Amino acid sequence: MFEKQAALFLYAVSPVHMGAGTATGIIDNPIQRERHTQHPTFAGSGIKGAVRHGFEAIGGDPSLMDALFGPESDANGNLHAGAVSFGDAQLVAFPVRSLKNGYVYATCPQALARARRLMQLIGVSWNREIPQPEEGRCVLANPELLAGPGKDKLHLEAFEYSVQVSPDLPKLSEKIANDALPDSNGYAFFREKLKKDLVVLHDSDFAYFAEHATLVEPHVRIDPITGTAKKGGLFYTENLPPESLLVAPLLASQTRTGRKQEDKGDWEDAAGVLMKIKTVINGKTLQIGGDATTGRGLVIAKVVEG
Amino acid sequence: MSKLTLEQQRAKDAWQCAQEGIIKHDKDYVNDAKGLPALIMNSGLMQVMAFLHQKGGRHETLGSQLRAWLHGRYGVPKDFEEFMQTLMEQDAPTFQAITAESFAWLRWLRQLASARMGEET
Repeated sequence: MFEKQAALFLYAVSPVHMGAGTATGIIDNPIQRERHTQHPTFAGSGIKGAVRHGFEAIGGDPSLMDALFGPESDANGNLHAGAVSFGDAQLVAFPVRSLKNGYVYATCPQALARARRLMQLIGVSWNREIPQPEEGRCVLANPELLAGPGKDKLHLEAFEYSVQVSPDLPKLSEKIANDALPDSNGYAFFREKLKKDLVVLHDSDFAYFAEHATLVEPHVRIDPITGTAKKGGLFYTENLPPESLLVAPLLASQTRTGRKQEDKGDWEDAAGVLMKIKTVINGKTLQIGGDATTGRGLVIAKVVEG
Repeated sequence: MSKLTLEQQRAKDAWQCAQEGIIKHDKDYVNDAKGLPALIMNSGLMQVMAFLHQKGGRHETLGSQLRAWLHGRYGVPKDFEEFMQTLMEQDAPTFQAITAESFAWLRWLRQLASARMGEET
């Protein structure tokens, strides 16, 4: 049983290709998505694997690895579970091209409610009402985003939304921005933008962008002899765009090495385990998913405890 | 006989279109079909429909096939100009639904075209 809970926010600073394998969909190499919402997701196993892989590089003590993550399965037979668990990450906000201010952080009642529920589970209250716009409409905080003849419409990609300005939304978006992004100066711009330019769309409108407004790139395999594209070598890869924000549960138990508390050794209680993992990953850049050597998969981790 | 599911109807239509496209344009058609969803995701449905029409030839084959399918599902005109006029007047939810339907059909077309061509994808 996991005794301590935290939330792990993951903010993409480069395109992220957390692949779902070869698929027979509209894209050859799609990203992972939740079955029921089709929102992009990062599988917990992928996050855990990435953290384990980069643990030493981001300042973790390698002697803690077995206790925190569990030993390699081909090790010496002293198998035990790890003390840290990463859940699947769910989408909180998704960047969408906007006529004004470059892009907005789009979200929807469903995504906000799920994130708020997760925060509540770890004891953090996002105690603001979640706006409920109708289909084809949106709720926003920043009137600067409005354009058109009457300066009363929000333009996202090719679409136009009629608007309701909410004085309450900045309070919710400020809470999200402060919880989700690191405190340092480097993120000040993005904290401020997330606070100002968070836009709540209807669940259906948001689902359209989350599904069809990702980054899709054609790739070819080059024939080394001719230097041109190889026959049948054309394929399309999908990436989660930079500036996307996801959140995952982070759980900790006491270490499960088989040793008892009285034996001391490397035994830690759940609070100690959570503190250790948090110290290592909080505010760090992690590399998750594929295509690492082409600069993909950089996310900033932020751990929030209740 | 039971009514076909929507997916079966899309598959049936795409199967027929793939055959016609390959007979007319050979493997160029297959490559175009494969890249079309990415093109729409990156550029938008109307821009891509305009592009296909302007390029003509094998591109127009694809464009007219997609318009014909959308005509059957949403009643939008098959004719290019009328199709564009109609799409320009749709509200965002309808426009998005039409785009999503294009992806659902193209998902079949790109796969079936490759399969009928007998190439590795």
